[in-house]
Amino acid sequence: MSELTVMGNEISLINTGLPPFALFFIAALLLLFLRGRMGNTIASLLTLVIPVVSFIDLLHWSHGSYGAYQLFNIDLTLVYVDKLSLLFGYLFHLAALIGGIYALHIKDRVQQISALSYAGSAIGAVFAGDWLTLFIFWELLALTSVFLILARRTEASYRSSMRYLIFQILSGVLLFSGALLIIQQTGSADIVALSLSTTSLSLSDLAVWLIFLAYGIKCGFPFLHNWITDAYPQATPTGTIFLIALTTKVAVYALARSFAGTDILITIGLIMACFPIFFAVIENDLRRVLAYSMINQIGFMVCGIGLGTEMAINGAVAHAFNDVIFKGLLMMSMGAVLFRVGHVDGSHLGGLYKSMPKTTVLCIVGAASISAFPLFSGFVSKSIIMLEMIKAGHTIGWLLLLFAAAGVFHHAGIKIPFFAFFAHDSGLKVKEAPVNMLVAMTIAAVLCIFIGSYPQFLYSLLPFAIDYSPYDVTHVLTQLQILFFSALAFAWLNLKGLYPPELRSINLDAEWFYRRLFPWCWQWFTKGASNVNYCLQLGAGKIVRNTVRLTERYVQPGAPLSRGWGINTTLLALLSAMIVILLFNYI
Amino acid sequence: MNPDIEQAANVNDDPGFFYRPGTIKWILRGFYSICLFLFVLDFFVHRHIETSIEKLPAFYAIYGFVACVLLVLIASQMRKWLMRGEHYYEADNKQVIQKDNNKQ
Repeated sequence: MSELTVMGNEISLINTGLPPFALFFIAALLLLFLRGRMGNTIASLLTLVIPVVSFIDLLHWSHGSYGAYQLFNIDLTLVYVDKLSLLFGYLFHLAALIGGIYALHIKDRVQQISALSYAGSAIGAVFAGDWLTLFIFWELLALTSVFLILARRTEASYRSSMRYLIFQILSGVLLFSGALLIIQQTGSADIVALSLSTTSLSLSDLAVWLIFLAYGIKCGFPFLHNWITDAYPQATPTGTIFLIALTTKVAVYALARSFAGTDILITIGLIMACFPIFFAVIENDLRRVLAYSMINQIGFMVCGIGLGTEMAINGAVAHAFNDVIFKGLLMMSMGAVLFRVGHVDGSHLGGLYKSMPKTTVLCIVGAASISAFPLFSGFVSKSIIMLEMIKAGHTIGWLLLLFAAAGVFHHAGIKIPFFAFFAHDSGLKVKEAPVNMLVAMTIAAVLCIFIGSYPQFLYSLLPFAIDYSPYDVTHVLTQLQILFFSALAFAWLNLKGLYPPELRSINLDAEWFYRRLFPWCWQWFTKGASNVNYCLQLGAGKIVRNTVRLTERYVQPGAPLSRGWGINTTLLALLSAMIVILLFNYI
Repeated sequence: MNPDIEQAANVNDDPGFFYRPGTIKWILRGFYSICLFLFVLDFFVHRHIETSIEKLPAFYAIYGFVACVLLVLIASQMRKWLMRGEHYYEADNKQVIQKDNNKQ
């Protein structure tokens, strides 16, 4: 048991005496040495037991700073506990447990170790009390999670994982640079609220912008979002469940802690909420549809953080909590389809409700939750953000969020279950999802309904006191109207044949710049450079050849330069040389 | 191809509950009735209003419908500009496609 300081008092870390993330890393290390059938059983068991034990341990933590340490004479705090970090801590434990159950049939040690250490990194990041500790876990998030993409073991996933890693490491480098500048400027490494300055650009302002950008990459800000839609659909069916739950939510947490009330976040959030729904409607890969949908949901959270009121932050955090569960549920249902069918292309699915009825029902629960149907979880959190938006006087912003909310129902609420399980009968006959997958999905579905029906449970965990009831006649009626009439639009467009069919294709997005334009520019540049080089070589070769030919011509036997000079010629040459020298001297 | 999959060789006589024309007809009828009910309800229920735009009768219903129709129509137009073959980015690199096809 180590002795640590909490608000000046010496206390012992509770129970295990370990920081909240430690058990995950210890288990991940242990898994490295497990072999054989017994090893597989223990490994599977550990992926379930660790989140539970660590969660129970976390329940004992009270608010305060723990684990103070020094690095290069800078005071650092390993664990900082308050309501905000605790909520995300609970959430990540829950996600690790649900993900662990979902992946129980997997014997791939790479994925198991990666998932455990990834969850540990996320928990470490939300409890980090200073910039440097945050940076360490920020980078660990990248390094541990990339194996969940690599574990798909295809060439496409390998390439995708490398692009993913570049974005993640870039985010880490920006965070580190910003953190060092802040420490240099202020002398303190504690994570504090920051304010963006658009009028001046001192070193402190630069530091804040660097950190903002680092968070923005991990959060999937517009033009920085394609790592999500690129890498997540390439990960393993089970790996994606961890990926969607952790990285972006750590970024949401970090934004909420340091950038609450930053106006620009409202605009960024609105763009994030609106633009992905267009892509989601025409996307064929249903897991990529969910990746776009995730950016759209993070848009709501970013708006809430941008609004910055206590209620709006509550809404953003509550929505992050719900999103992990309902998006996890939807992704799990698509993962089950991928696991059984081998692909999740909407163009080649349909009619699966006959083979996978349980998965279908669970997917519909997830769809109802993300669409914010009354009695489902999305309803109790999304409405807080929208209400705060309208209270803040952002009518256009509110209309855009309303549009995004209708769009979510369209692409995630209807499109996902409709094209996977209904639509045209593809004739595919597969087995129902494995039991462990069904159990994980059922837990998530029960939580969606529980939180939706009894929101006070979630509200009590939120960082600020909340006095709000989502269930009044106006809210229920207006929400039902918007949902049913969105569905009516879907039905009408389908019956009229106006709904874009699912086609095996991809759609160009911001990634085109670095996947096509930059390589093209590079190719053009290298080709140009190679041509210049060739011309130079050609020219130089010609000069050398001509010089050699000329020399040969004049020095070969009998040529003018190799002949002996007569006395008169020599004297004439000497005289000419002397005249030239004298003339030059005179001038 | 995954060994768990069987492609139905013969189409069953029963296309399945949700593919029977009768079922679809009744689902749509029920759905339209709910929509109509929600639309009419708007004229009888007093809504709390935060902005003037909400005063429009059945504002949420109309907004939801129009928003989704616009969303789909704009997205369909986007396809003309943005849609490419599914191996667009790997087109220069045949080995990616080949390696993955071999694995499958």
